[in-house]
Amino acid sequence: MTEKELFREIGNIKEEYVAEAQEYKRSVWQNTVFRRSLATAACLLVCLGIYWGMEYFSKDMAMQESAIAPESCKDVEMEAFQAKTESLQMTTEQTADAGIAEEALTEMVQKPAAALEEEVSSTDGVATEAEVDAKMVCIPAQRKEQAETDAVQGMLPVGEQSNLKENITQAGMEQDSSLQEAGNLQDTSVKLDTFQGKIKSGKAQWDAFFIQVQQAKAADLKLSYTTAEGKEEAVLVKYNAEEFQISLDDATDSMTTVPDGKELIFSYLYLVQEGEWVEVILATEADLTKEQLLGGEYSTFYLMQYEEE
Amino acid sequence: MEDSQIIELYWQRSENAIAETSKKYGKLCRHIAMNIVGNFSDAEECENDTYVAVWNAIPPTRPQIFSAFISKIARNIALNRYEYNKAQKRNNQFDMVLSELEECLACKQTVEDAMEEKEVASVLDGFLEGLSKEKRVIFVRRYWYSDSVKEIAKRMQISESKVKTVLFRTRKELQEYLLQHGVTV
Repeated sequence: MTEKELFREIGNIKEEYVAEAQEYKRSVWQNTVFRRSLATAACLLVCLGIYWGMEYFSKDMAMQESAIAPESCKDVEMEAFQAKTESLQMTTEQTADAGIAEEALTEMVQKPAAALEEEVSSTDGVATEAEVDAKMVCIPAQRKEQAETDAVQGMLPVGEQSNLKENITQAGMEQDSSLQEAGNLQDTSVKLDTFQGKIKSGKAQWDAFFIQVQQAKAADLKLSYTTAEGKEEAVLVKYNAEEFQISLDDATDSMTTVPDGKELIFSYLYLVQEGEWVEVILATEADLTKEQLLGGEYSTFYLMQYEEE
Repeated sequence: MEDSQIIELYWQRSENAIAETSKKYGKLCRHIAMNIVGNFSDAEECENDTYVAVWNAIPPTRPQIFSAFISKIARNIALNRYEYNKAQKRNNQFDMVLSELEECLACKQTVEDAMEEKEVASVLDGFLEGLSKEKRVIFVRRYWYSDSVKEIAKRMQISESKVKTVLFRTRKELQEYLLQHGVTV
């Protein structure tokens, strides 16, 4: 058989095969060019999908982390709180430089008591304890009236006034937030006594609240003040074991424990604006009545103004 | 027009049969003839001779697949024309087709007890049946339609190298198949 004969024999194959070869159309999926393009597009889609997925996942994690706001936020708040307390300390030092020292304030508070003792000792007979107490009550009340009368003078420098108030306000707000975290003290506290006074304009640059409390039993006390706007803020106070005085510059916590029988004197400097109402509240969470806590005695608030020398 | 309708025209001896055939399969006949004879004038002559042969064949024949029927007639006519023109000129492409088929033969000695066309064709049918559709189409397009490798690659939407590879392997398989079924030289 020759190649020509084979070629002719091939011509005698089934007509189905001949028609099949004529009508054959390669499917799209058998097209290598199409399949290569499809594979390339699929790879690109997979890469893009991985990239988008990673972007979405990273954003979602960032949102979750910011929502949780763990200790880092508290640290930031603590740092801001400490910065504010430092600024408050600076203002307190300024106050000291201006001649308004805590010793002077204490002395002013103790003077009435010393004068009272002299008065009492000069009297004939043995005064009853109640009489002594009553007089002690009277003198602080007179002192209060005197303080109100004296609280006429003084114009507060606007710049320092606003700065100090802002610092104190901010510190109080931050402390208030910590109080909230400590268990919502304001809601459960027992109001022992309040004092309201309206600051009048004058030459004074500083205003001070003197709170004299005689304790019969140990209790945690909290001092808070409310401005005219009704915004209740916690005062930063700290119990000083030695001097039994509380100064704002040492404030780290608004709660303090007073031992039994100790007399606690609060001295707090707060710069208020003209015409502003201030309410100072002495409260406690202890399960004690006012009489029990205060030993049936008294609590007195002084409001005074000082002029910068 | 459907093939059945064209065949019916032949049976009705209508002159429109040839017109319709030329309209539908004229290009195919010229293509098959062109692949074998190698020039356009001879291809046209082969096309015309094909129409005459179909007119003479139908009736009594009623082909099942009219396209394959007319293609086979055109192929045989073109091959006869090629042999007629061989002494005068050569068709490089068709010569390549014949030289490739020469590889399928064990040797060039003439078969003394040559098998009948029908048996050889049946063997070839069996061989083609065992091939995949793609291989079979490539083989038929190459050795039945005498298409070039480039044309096959374009039609199949594959590379020319793949066409050559498939043809080479198919020829080897055909050689072994022919030997197994006694088609030897």
